[in-house]
This record gives sequence, C-alpha cells and structure tokens, in this order.
Amino acid sequence: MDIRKPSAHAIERYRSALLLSLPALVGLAIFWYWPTIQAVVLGFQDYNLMSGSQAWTGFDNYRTAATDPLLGLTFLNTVIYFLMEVPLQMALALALALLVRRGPAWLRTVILVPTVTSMVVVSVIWGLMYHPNSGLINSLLGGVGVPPQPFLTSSQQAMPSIALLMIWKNVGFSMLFFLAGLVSIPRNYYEAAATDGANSRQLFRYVTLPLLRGTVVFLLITNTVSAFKVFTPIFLITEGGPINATRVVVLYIFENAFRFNKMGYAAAISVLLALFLLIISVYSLRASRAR
Amino acid sequence: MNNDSNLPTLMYSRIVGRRPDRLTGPRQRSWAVLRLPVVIGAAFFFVFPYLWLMGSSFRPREEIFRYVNPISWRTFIPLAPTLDNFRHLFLERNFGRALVNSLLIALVTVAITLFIGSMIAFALARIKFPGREVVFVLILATILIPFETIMVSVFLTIQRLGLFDTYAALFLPWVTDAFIIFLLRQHFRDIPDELQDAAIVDGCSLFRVYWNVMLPNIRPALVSAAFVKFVFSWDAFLWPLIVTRDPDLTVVQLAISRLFTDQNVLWELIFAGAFIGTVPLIILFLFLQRYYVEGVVTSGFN
Repeated sequence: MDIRKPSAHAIERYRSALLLSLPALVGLAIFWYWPTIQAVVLGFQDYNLMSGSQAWTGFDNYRTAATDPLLGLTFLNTVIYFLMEVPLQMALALALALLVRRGPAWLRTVILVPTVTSMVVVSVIWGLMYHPNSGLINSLLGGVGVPPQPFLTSSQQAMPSIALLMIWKNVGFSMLFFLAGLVSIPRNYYEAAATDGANSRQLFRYVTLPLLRGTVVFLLITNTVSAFKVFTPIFLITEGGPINATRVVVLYIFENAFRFNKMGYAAAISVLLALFLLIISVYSLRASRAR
Repeated sequence: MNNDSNLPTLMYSRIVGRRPDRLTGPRQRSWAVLRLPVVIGAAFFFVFPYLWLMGSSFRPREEIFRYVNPISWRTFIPLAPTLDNFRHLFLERNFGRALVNSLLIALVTVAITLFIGSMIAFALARIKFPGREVVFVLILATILIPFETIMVSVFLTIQRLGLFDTYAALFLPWVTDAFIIFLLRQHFRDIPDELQDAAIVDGCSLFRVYWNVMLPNIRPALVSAAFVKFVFSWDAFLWPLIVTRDPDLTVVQLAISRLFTDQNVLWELIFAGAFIGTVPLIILFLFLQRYYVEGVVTSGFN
C-alpha cells in the first residue's frame, strides 16, 4: 500500500479543486440537499405557516394520505395523463425525426420553436384555442364538418386536451434525441442488411429500432418524470376541473401547501411522489440493462 | 457571429450534416408523392397557434372574435393593425417592469450559473483529487429529485433566510445546476491534456489554467449553456408564483398568466402579452439554434 504523504504540489492541487468546487457545493447544499432532508422531516410534522407552529405527528400525514380519496384520484389522474401524453408524444417524435432527417431543415426549426416558448404562453394560447365558441380549434373542425366540441369544459375531454397541448410543446425535445440516436447508427449496418435483401420496413424493425433502445429508455425516463410533474397548463386552464377531472399530484401539493396551509401533508405527498419517480427511473434503467 | 470554426460540432453537425442516401424503389416513389402534404401538415400543426397569436395581438378589441369562424386568411392577418394592445399593457399593466425584472433575473442567473458551474466542472474534469467521483455522483443525484417534490421545503428555506419576496429568492435556488455542470464537464474533458500541461509548465496556477486557457476553449459550450439556462429562467412560473407577492417583483410569465386568470379576461391583451413574452426568445433561438440543440442533447436538459 502506498502510504507516502501527498507532495506539496498535490496539496496545492487539492486546495485548488476544493476552492473551485466550493461555491457550487454550497449552493447545492442549501437549495437541494438541505430541502430534501427537510421535506422528509416535514412529512412527519404538522407545520402551520401562518402561526409558525410546528409539531411532531409521526406517521399521521402518511396515514391521512393512505385514506385521502382526493389524493388517490390525483395520482390516478396523473397516471392517466402520463398514458395519454408520453407514448403518443414519443411515437410522434420518432416519426418526425425520420421525416425531418430526409425533409427540409426549416421543418426541424419549426418543430423546435414550441420547446423555447414558455409553458405559460403555450397554456394561455391553447386555452383560448380550445374555447368552445370563439376558439380556433372548433372553427378548424367546423371547416371539415366536425360539430363543435366542449374540450376543457367536459370532464371526458379536458385531460386529452391538456395532453395534446403538452405533446405539441414537448415533441420537439424528444425528436432531437431521436435525431441524435438516428445519426449515430453506422450507415454500413443498413447497407449490410439491404444487401441481404431487407426491405425498408425490415430495416426499420431490425436495424433502426434495436439500435435506438438507449435513446428510448432515456426519453421514457425523462418524459415520465416530466409527465408526473405537470402543473402549469392545468393550474392555468382548468384549475383541476371540471369536477376534479384534471386534478394532478403537483397541483394537489401546491394547494395543500399554499392554499390549505398544510405544509406537512404537502411534504408527505412530495416524498411519496419523489419515491415513486425514483423507483420508476431505477427500475427502467435496470430493465433496460438486463436485456 | 457565425464563425464556422467556433461551432459546437459535437452533436449539431451530426444531426444536421449527414443525410441518408435517397433510396429508390416503388415504396420510396409513393412516399415522394406523400411527403410534401405530410411536411406541410406537420408544419401547419406547429405554426398555426403562432399565426393566430401574432395576427390577434395587433387586432383592435372589437375585431378579435369577428374572423375566427369560419376560418380564412383574415383569421390570421389583421386588416387594420394597431398597437393599442401593447400600449395598454405597458401603460396600464406595468408590463415594462415585468419584462425588465425577467430580463435582469435571467441575466444574473445565467452569469452566476456559468461561473460557479464552470469552476466545479473544470475541477471535476481536469483535476485529480480524492473524492472526485463522490462529488460528481452527489451532483448528478440532484437530477433524480424533481424540484416540484422539494418546492415546499425550498420555500421554507428561503423564508428562514429572510429572502421571501426578494429578487434574490427568484434566482438563488437556480444558480447551481447539475445539467449545466454536466454539460460543461463533458466539454472540458474533450480538451487535449497538452494544453493544460504546457500552461502548468509555464507556471500557471490551476485557476489561471481554468480562466485563461480552458474557458476560452469551451466558448461554444458556454453559449449553449447560457442560452438553455436563459430560456429556463425566462420561463419560470411556479417558483415566482410561490415566492413573490410584491407587484414590483412580478416576472413576465406571472404578468401574462394574470391577464388570463383575471375576472375579466381580455383576449387581445393576452395575445399581445404572449407576443411580447415569446417573440424575442424565438428570434434569439433562430440565431442560436445550433447552440440550443447542442446544449439540450448533451445535457439532457428538460
């Protein structure tokens, strides 16, 4: 074993590394690690923001969570939203990536513009477009003979409407990663398969798709996490309605913390959400490596 | 500005540069016929909300609903364009203040994020020190904790620090960014060792190596990081909603959202507000697209 003391030169190097790392580490400690610990602690407390009173309540918040029908509904709604948004968004992203690769370059730019448009602007503009009487979408549908739809005012159509606007906003992001994945496939794989007589459908099925698996896993994880964080469009457009049809987890956390003044309960729900997402991410990574 | 030697060549040129060979055959020929309508349809799907937004923001109040149904070119192009809506926003809704706030906060966020992020990224990529892997894993671990799940306790932290309802509250939690650190670290790693070794032989301290030798070498990555972070900061909504109350601290997304959630919703003002909040960023994006693509793909920023 090497038990020599580090040289003066090495100590100088460690000192530089420490000084260069310190500002970022302090920032992370204050705004990530400490709040993460605090969230867990807060989950076992009853914390009133107005009076500042703070009391240990053990697992009370989690017991409440287990029997809160509204929390169950918000989780269910979030899962439904996830099922509507993520698979369709990723399939469309792959189709657009294939299209853009052979299509004009300006189309890529156009598809990316919504990703740099703010969530608030996308929400309010689509909110107006969905307006049953004066909205653009019903007048477009009218142009092809479809009767006016209620969209956000109907508890059946509200969540699909939110999912559609989120697909519109997010699909460019996924498309970029598919494009990056597509260009990293060596061209001679296609040439070899084509020499063996594969047609273009077989090329896609047996060359392109398997080699995009890493991209698909990455996108599945990031899109899933971001689907479970959905907040802004729902907060602005439907406020969880009609009749709770679009009440999702983060909206419920927000309401408990900042409207009902139940900080402890909000923290407990946050911990459940964080654990849920962590398990999904780790599981997807494991599953993709095992194969 | 578009000096070609300075481009972030990593991902962007690979995405854009190489096109697959055109295949020939009956399937490809039928696709050639279909392609144009598909391209136009896709483009229309992404563009039509912007056309409506831009046309309507220059429309007088009484014309807003007139041409929506049935749809025609008049739906998107105002016959008598006016600046009244913008005048109203700036004179009566204090939109100028919100724009300045958001711009200042975004610039400060970008500057600090890049400075402290590039320092630690340099240390992680180019200095061997004990515990380096642990530090890197600790940073990446923050990616696994979505902000929404700790926003309640970050809010309480801000409150305990006495920063509730201040400018500092709007940018401090965002200046340490694992995605940006990761992005910059990747680029520092690509720089050849000889550059650093030569500088150290010449007697440069590690900080001088970082500042004078390494930073200039990753300038394109810094532009990518800056733009991605700028967009992120400009978009902030949930956090400012929670942590500010003072109307003087209103950021642009809050200002736009309030037009929408007002008791008395005025469509023409929403369009104009959305226009102001969006168009400058889109123009910036058109110039910096390659940097944006590079930043997003390398860091996985979502």
